[in-house]
Formats: sequence, structure tokens, C-alpha cells
Amino acid sequence: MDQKLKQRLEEESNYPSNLKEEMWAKIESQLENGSPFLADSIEGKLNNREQPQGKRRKRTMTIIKATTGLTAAVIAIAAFLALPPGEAFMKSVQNWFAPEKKIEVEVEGNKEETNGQVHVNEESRYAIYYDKERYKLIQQDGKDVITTIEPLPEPYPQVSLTIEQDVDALPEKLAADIAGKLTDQFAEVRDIEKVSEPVKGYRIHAINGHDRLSEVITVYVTSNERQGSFILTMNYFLEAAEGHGARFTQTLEQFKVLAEE
Amino acid sequence: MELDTISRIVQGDREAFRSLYDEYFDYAMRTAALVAKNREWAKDAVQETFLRVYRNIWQYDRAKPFKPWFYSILLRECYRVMEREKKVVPLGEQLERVAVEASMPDGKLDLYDALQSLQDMYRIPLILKYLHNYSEKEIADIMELNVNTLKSRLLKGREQMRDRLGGEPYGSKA
Repeated sequence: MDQKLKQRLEEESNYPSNLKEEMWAKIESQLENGSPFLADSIEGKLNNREQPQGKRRKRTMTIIKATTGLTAAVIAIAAFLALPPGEAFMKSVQNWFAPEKKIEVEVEGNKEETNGQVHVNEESRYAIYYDKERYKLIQQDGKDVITTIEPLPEPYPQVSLTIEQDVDALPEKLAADIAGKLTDQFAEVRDIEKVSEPVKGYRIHAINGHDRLSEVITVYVTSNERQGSFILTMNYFLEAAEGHGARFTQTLEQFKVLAEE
Repeated sequence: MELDTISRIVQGDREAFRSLYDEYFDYAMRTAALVAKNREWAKDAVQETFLRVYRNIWQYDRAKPFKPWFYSILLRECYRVMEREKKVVPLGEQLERVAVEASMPDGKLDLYDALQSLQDMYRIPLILKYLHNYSEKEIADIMELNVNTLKSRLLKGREQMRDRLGGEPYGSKA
């Protein structure tokens, strides 16, 4: 009987063989260029897209509820659409993100949930969620620095995740430059690695000795989706590799470049 | 769904998205057709599902299985389309449906009709179970239900099918 029902369900759900490609053509025509991350955020632009089955509906206002974990961000798209594209992009960007969301991290083999706080840097055009219970984000010399809420006691070196942008250098060249500079400061600089996680780009890793408090630096260089790069620098120490090091790496998984369409 | 494919889609890789489409289209289309009970509505729901998956994939929690995430979006889209379309169904057609549904509880229905005459809360878990052979845990995840609640719905759904099929027991208990 189970088999018979399965068979009936399959019979009743059959569809023409050309449907798959026909629908792919419609779907593909509505995909935006570049990372879908941004496309989701500006879902209000659906107003400009063809609606399924040609049911284009004129909407004067679209309210998007983007639920990420605890909090929902509500966006008034009408205001967005009323502004010139570039201006609208920047004015609305903060609203695209839930102010907070739960982030699951794995530290020393244990999974835990943390409260992520969004930080949107409109000038540099990126967004990131960081663990607000452990870290704070401060601006220092034009860079965003995520560091422990309270400084670590002596003799521990300070730990941080620094985000900065070089608008003129492409990632590959910049990674080579950074690796070269680190050679003067660190005893051991590993070969540059091409990576796809936590960000797509290049990774440079260097350590200064093998003591538990030896300094460690890990730098990721990723495209700013224009002609430059973001430099994401993790500073910690050997003993903190599985703690702060792992947390920073997972924080970088929340790093998003806001490339304007 | 491999994590590498997900990562590539997040970066905007169309080929990766196409491979996801290839993998999920058939079941998505079949599921939507059965849930929505209308081919055109199903097409709307599937199309919107893939677009939503593409645009929201950066929010997908990679520590969790992909399939429930995908199917929960699909079901939401089915409900959305069904709600939308129900609002615009001409009154005459609505009355016709009510009349058809009211005449259903007899023993002459075939398995499919008996299933489709159930309320959504019983009908949809049974569709997922019998079309896809999903486990109860998977269906519970997709429908965001407690496993025991899901088990109870499957049981009641089968009992109602049995009644509508003229009293014969239907389906395995698993």
C-alpha cells in the first residue's frame, strides 16, 4: 500500500519534460550579478523584476521582514526606492541587517551560541556580526578593531580582529606585500594560501616563536568587490589559537562586503 | 548539498546554483504540485523558492542539514501562493470546491484522493513521507514541528485516510 501511494503521488506530480529548463530560464533572468548576499538585502528591488507567471504587481511599498535569529529587521523599501540609487544604497544599508542575531560557534570542539551584534561600516561598505558578549568594536586610526571588552591581564598579549580597506590594491598583490612585511617582524611566515573560507581570498599566517604566549598573526585579504581589498587581521597568541583565534575566524564568516550593484 | 557548493553560491557562482537547481528541482516541483494541488501555483512557488534560496543562502546555517532549510522555504512559498490565490478565486469556484470537499467522506476515493482530502496539517506530512521517503525527524525539521507532534499527525492522517477509504487500515506505522 505504501508503494502504491508513492506511485500515485509520483503519477499525480508528473510535469512536462521541458518545464525544468523553462523555469530555469525565468529564474536565471531574475538573478542579480555578483553575490546573492546583497541581492537578498535589497529584495525591495523585486518591484523591478518580473513576477512569477507574469503576475507583475505594482507595489507602492514593500515591507521586508528579514528574520535572522532573534531579531527581525523591517525595511521600508518605498523610502529606498524614492532616493537616487547610490544614496539609497547607503541610507538604507543599516536597515538591511537584524541588529542582533544568534551565531553558533565551535570553540575547542564545543558548540555554543553567541549573541552577534551587527556593525555596518557604510563608508568602507562592509558589515559584520561580532560576539557582543566578549568583544567590543572600536575605531582606531581609521580601522575597525574588534577586541576583548576588558583588556587581557598581564602577561597575555592583546587579541584583536582588525578590519581595514585598501581601495587601490587587488588582493593577490596586497597579500604578497603583507607577507613580505611580516617576514621582518615574525620568525616564521607561512606560504600565502588561497582560501574560500572564512572569506574568499588569501591567507597569510605568521608566528613569533613556540611559547604559549608567542604572538600569532593571521591576515585574510579579500576583494572589496571593486578595485581594492579588505585586510582582515587577527592578532592573538599561540595558547589562544583555539579560543580567540577560532572565534575571530568564525566572526569573519559573518563578514559581508556591500558591493553596490 | 556540499558546503563547497553553498560557499560558491554565496559568492555568486551561477554554475554552483545551477547544480543546486538540478539536484532539487524534481522533488521541489513534485512536492509543490501535490501541496498546492495546482500546477500553476506550484510553478510560482518553486520559482520563488529558488530565488529566495539564492538570495538568502548566506543566512543558511552550515552546521545544519541543507534539505530541511530548503524544504521549509518551499513549503512557506506554497502556503503563500495558496493564500494569495485563494483570495482571488472567484466565489463560484470557491463554492464549487466546498461542495466537492463536502461530498468526499465516502469509501470510493482512491488513495490519492483520500490523501488530498485531508486537512493540510495531516496531508502535507504524509506527502513528504510517501513522496520522498523522508524520516519522521526530517519531516519534523522541515515543518518545524516536534517529532512527537509529527508522529501524532501522521497517525491521525492515516486513520482519516482509512476512514475515507471505507475503513480499511492504511499504511505502515513507521
